[in-house]
Amino acid sequence: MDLKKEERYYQPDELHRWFGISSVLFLASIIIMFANDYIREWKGHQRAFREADVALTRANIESAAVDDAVKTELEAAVATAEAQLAADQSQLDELDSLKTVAEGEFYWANMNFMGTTADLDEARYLLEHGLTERHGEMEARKHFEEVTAKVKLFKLQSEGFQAEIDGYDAETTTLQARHKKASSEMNELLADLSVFERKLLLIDPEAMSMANRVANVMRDLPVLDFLAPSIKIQQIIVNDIRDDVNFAVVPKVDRCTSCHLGIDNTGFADAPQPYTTHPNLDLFIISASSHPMNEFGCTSCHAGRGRGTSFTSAGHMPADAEQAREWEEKYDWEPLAFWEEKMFPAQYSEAGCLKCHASEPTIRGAEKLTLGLTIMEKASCFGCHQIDRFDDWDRRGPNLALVSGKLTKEFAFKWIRNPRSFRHNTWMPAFFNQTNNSSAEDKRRTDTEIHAIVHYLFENSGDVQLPSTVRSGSVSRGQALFESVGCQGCHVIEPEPLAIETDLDRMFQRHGPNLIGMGSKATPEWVYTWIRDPQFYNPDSRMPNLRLTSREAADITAYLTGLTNDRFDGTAAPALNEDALADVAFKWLVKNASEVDAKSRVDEMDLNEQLLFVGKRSILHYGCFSCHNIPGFEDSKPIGTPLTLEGSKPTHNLDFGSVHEIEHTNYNWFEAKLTNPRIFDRDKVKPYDERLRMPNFNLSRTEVEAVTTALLGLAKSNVHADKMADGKMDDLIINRGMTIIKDYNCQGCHIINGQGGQIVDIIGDPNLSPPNLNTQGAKAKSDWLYKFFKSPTTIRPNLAVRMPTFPLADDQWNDIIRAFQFSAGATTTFETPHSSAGKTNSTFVGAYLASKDMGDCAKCHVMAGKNPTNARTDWAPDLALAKDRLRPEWIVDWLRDPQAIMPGTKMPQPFIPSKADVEFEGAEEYFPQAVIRMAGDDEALLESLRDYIYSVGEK
Amino acid sequence: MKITVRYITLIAALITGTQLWGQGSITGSVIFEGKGPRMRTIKMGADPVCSAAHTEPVKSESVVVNGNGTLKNVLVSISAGLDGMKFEIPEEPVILDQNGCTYTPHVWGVMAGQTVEIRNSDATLHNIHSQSKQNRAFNFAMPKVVKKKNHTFDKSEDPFIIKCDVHPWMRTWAAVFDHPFYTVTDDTGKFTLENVPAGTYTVKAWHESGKKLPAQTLEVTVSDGQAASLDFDFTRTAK
Ligand SMILES: [Cu+2]
Repeated sequence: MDLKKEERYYQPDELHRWFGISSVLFLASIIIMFANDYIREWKGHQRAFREADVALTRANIESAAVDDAVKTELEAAVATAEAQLAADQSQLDELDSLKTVAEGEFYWANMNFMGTTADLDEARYLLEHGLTERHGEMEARKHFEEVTAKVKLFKLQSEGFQAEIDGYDAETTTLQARHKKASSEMNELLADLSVFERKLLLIDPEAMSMANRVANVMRDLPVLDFLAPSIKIQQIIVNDIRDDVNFAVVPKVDRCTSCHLGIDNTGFADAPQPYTTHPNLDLFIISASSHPMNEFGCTSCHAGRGRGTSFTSAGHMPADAEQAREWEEKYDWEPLAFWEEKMFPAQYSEAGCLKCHASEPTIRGAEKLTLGLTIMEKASCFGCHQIDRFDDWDRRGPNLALVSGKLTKEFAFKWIRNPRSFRHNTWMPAFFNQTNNSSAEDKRRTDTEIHAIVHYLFENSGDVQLPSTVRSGSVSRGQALFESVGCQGCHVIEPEPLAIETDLDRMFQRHGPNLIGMGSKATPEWVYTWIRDPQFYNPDSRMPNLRLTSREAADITAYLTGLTNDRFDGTAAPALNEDALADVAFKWLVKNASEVDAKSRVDEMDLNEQLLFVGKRSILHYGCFSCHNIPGFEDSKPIGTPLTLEGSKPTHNLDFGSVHEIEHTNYNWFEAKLTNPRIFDRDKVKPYDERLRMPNFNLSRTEVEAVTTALLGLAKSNVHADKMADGKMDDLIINRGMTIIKDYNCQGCHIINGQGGQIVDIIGDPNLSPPNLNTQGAKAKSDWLYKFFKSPTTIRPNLAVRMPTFPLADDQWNDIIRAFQFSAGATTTFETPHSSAGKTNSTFVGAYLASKDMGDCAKCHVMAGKNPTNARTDWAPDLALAKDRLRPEWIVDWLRDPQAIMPGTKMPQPFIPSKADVEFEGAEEYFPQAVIRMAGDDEALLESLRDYIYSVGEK
Repeated sequence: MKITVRYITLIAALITGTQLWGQGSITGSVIFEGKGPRMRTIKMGADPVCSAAHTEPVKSESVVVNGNGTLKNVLVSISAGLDGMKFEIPEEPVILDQNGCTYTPHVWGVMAGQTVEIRNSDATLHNIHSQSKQNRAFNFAMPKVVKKKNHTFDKSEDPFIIKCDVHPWMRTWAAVFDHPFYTVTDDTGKFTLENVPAGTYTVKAWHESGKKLPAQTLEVTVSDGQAASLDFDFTRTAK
């Protein structure tokens, strides 16, 4: 041995030992590798879920279980019925054979009958021929009578056999009935149970056969689990929605359901995460919803990393700091690094809707997102920030081209300096006295700038022709008019802030300004001129014309100008500081010139020139022209960051400055910015003109969250046209019209597509409020609608509120009419011509149904100018208008069930007699023959009523 | 055949949990001291058929105080304490008659699913217009030849108005319950709820005057087979 040992350069024993150790280590590391690969977060979830599912199914079985006594009794009943059936079998067989025989007989009799019917035709021909030819008549008549008798005989025969067959069938059914009934009762009783029992067999090890149980364990074992494991990754591939993974665009692959296992199962609504049922199965997940899970996946809406199979790698994001702490503890969570598109925290989840619903003015079911977008419209974010969605939208703020005719300089100064000191909920934001410009030095500058802005505006203002005096009006009449003619569709008079949260309805109700303090703002002459014709002062105004008489306008003017803001009137604007003005002018000039040049240029300017120069620079700096039309700034470009893809902006491009107390995420940045637009200037030392200048809109918590949701939604996306909610022409047409409808706030007064109409809360009674425009597109003829929009006439004499005249162009009206039509599915280009052809049977029946004893239409409806007998508040549209105004198909739908179209309407369902209604003793005395004949045919009766309505007013 | 019917009823009872009612009862009266408001006379001249139906002037039924110092037309019902119990729906219909251009009864209750038989005993046209919110509102014409229409309400609902738009004075108040324990006080101001199972309940007394005579609730415990009694007092404190 020793010799051998010496013969080698190495020590075999030593080598063996090391080989042994290393192979053990190697094996161990392989085992650890396997284990590490095998043990996954999601597998634990699947096991836990299966246990929960077994428990749920067992509970379901238990609750579906049937009382034993009942079951036994039913079983006994089934058994008895079976026994009876067996006993009756010979009888059944006999019936069957009898039936076969009868069927044979029937066949022959029927063949004979049909054959002789043909013969009869021949005989009839011969007879007729004989009659005309005047020969062989006798014989032909005899033949005809013979054949007639034969036909009668065969007919009787075949009817007899048919009756026999029916008899056998009936007997058979009776004999089988008991058994059929008992077993169907049994099946019904056990139906639910068997579904659950079948399911349990598949998932519950205790319910499985031994072989299945072993197989189930085997297929989940390491290595073997590559075959067909019961515990496996679930994934949904969505081809139409793609992910941009840098240098490649790939279909979405969502593995979320590997852990979110109860997402489509209603039984898990109260289960803990990740097993919880989706909270809105009507809209999402299940195949009957409009967003089935296997077509849309999960991250299409929620964002996040769909391929992730652990809590952190899926890109979950907490709703707040508290949840973040909870997750760190529970799931070892941390924000997913190197993945920008993290999941939307729960409160912003509606952000995901926007990518496919981009052109919808209001997105149903996404109330928060819609609110955010609506706030962006109202606040005119798109004025300063380019946003594709609002491309070609007009400026939202008042036109200032004629401002000197409306305001005093004093008012303008105080207003610009602090808009909310005049009107607590104005959409005019605050630029001054903010956290980055409120020092004494800043105020010296900003007061000067405001003076200069006002000077510029008034110097460049045109003149407006106002009447020298306005006839005196009555405040109380004015108030009554304000509260009845429809001003409150868009305006409120709200002296103090209300402690209620903003929602879409509230936005509709406050579409126009809160009209407090009008007397402190404008002269009666201006207000009078404005309300009589808004476009006279501002051709771009969206305010419609209520066609007020001079007296009505004077009354409303008296009411509005009687409302003053004494606290605001009591403060005075500070005098202009001329030194400060020169300083500001110098600071602007020195940016592009040497100190000496700048100084001399300032000295060259007189006061007026300095004011105009500083005014112009300030308007440019603060971007006033973004919302207001200001002479000299017609073509100026937006001053803010474009926001079209703000939701996709990498977080490191957002400047948090020295704000470290919040987690650095894009939504936290948006929220902080919207709450205080100047916050990221904190602790910074910047020259005045380089400081943040976004104004403060004083948004509430709810509003900030809604706008943040909308901003997150403005993100890059890669969705195939098929998946877009507006992928079809119809949707685009509806969205285009609805956008105008929203812009002009038609929904302040009317319910359109289920939204709006809250003026009814003020008026009280839906019957005295502007009509619900449900089915409007199917209801009104488009020609009539167009004429009505251009020049509204009174349809409903009972309403005090009136349809105003809107300053819309023809193509806009067409867009609105088409949106109505497409929403109602009534897209015909040409109307069905329909007119009553004088007095017909149909109009006669209709007139009867409308008569005093039946429907008594004239009780409420004006009839061709003749006033109804009821109180005026109950009056309804003149039926003579119907033929020009209403589509014939719609009238029938309306008459069939008025409540279905306009819930709460006073219009009753007319009396449409059924067969039973006219089958009493002496019915002929009540009903004309024609009505009795038609009774029961609802459609024909409704149509006759429609025909009658079309004939009202015809000579 | 009969046996099967019995089975079905039995099975239905077991599945839906319908219970046989109890043996207890709740009785009492609704007190109203004082005269109450003057009862307005209804002018029916607008429809000659209506005015011809009455020989004496018709008084508004909005507040009816009985001679014995009690209040008529108060809807008394169990408003809480019946959770989880289900009750069979009576087969006989509730009858609402339009007679002499007034509704009889003036206040009434019905169980969800129970038939309401709406009659027109007048030789004139009425329309019957429900202002229900939970149940689908209905509104249909009943010409004089139509003597009967049936209707059922699906869901329980607090009292709501049913009215006739042809005759604006015609109003009746209906309430829909998911249990049978409700009644309306009569000319003596008394009420009795029968067959009440043992238990503790909240009993509510409601009058159509709304804010002027707000609804009242009282707690009561019914022991098995016993009669519990309680009185409501609607005497207005602020006259
Ligand atoms: Cu009536």
